[in-house]
Amino acid sequence: MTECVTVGLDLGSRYLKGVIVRFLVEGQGLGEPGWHNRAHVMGCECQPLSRGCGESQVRSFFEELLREQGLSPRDVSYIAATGFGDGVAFRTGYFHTITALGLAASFLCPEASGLVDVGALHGRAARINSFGRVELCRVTSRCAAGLGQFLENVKQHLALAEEPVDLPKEGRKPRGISTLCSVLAESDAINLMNEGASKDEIYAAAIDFVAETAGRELVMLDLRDKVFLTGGLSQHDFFVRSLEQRASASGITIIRHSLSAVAAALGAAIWAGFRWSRTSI
Amino acid sequence: MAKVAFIRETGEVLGLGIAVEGGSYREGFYRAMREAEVDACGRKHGQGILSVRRSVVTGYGRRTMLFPKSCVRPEIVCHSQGASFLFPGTRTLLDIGGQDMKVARLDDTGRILGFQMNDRCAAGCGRFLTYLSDELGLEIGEMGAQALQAVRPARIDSTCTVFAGLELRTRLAQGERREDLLLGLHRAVALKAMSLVWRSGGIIGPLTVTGGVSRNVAVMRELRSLIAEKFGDIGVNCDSTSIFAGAVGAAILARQEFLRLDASKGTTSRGVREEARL
Repeated sequence: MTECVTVGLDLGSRYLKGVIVRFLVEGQGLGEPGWHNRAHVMGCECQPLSRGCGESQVRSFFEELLREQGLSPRDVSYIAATGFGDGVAFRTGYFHTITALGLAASFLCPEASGLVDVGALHGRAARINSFGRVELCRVTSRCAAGLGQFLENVKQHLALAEEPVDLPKEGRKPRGISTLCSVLAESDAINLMNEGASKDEIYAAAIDFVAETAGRELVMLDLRDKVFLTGGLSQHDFFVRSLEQRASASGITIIRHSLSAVAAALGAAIWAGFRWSRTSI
Repeated sequence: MAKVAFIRETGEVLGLGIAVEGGSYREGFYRAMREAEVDACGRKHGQGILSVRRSVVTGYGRRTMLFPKSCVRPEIVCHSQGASFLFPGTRTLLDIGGQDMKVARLDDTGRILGFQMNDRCAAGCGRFLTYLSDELGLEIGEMGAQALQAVRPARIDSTCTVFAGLELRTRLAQGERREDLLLGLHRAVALKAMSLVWRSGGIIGPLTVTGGVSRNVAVMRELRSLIAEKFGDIGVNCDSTSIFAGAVGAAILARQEFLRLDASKGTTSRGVREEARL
């Protein structure tokens, strides 16, 4: 029996995420149905990207991630990059984000029939099979409207340092916030404030809009039953609640996990085990 | 930015003022009023001394300011009037503001024959440049001058402002020169403006550029070169007063109404402030 340690590194738009996975490989290696469930997550980390993030930040993040688990780069069989990580020089291989997310969704929630990913600048939804393979997917175009960065911009302009403790549940649409441009949404927030809407109301309207955008993707793909939520906004309780409400109207249950935010890195690390077993055993 | 223009009954520009809104249209308006008063009468005079016969308000703050509806006019009308007044003979107007971009074809009196506006997207507008100046930690006023130091202008592939910011960060990290990227960004604004010009049917006569972006030397240089390339030696009007075209146009409309109605009741510039506060 061989032990294989893989690392998945996901360079997102705002955060750098990494996951270490360990497999015990025997015989023919990995690849039989349900092989991905043999992965064991050893550790994970998430770090904001500094301005002009370069190779040095990714490398020191990678080394720190290993150090925390008492590992050194020599112990790693395969370094898998995903997201914007195809330019990372020390990676062994690269996996597309949606491919990595599909497998991670299936690993974290075996009953999931689909996934929805809401990141800072990209939104994705996919229908997946029981092996975590993507059957059909939709990705947002090159526009940041209705995603995490949009929410961040609104929050910044409202000068909200922390997430509000509670948001108004009724009348959450104070005459609407721009739904078409992340940058102009800030100006709309100012306009709404000038018109007397409270900061919480405006922020709640922005959250609802992001949830509406994600909910629309679920409907477009005709997803059913359990859909796994990934991306940075999976940790945003108000957003998740708003999305759950919309999804339940279409008979969809939204599932999330504490590892949802690092799902792409996790998926890449699991795929890495498969690729390593095919080339090294 | 809030802009204020005072025009005499005889039609000359008396004073111009501009101020950053800083989160509130009202505050920006008050500061711009003061600037315009100082421009008109000098700093030694107090506030509210000008005798204002009629006022017209336009722009994004027009509804927030709570002026009476009869004082509110569309932006494009004011800009057209202002452009024709500041640059007589203007037949095409290109207004590149903070949040939108408009192209209008005008007759020789400044009346609009047709116009096109951009989509609700910050790309190509002033907000595109301010967002990216924040990304770079640069003052917005420095952007244009730095861009002109480019050696080999970069091509910016992103349309979305947020994505352009990301592209900028990535390419800077990859070692590309900041000035080259900056010129690429400015050229992207000029190209966006050109696409709107084409969409509106091209340039039918001397072009006047108005709005805050008209102050940016790099955008104006790129725009002039693209216009010369596509339309030949057509006049492109732009100077330090171009940014006030909307306010000047609003003042012209106010003057026209005053002359037409011969309104006997007027107010002072203090009165205009109070009107806005109602």
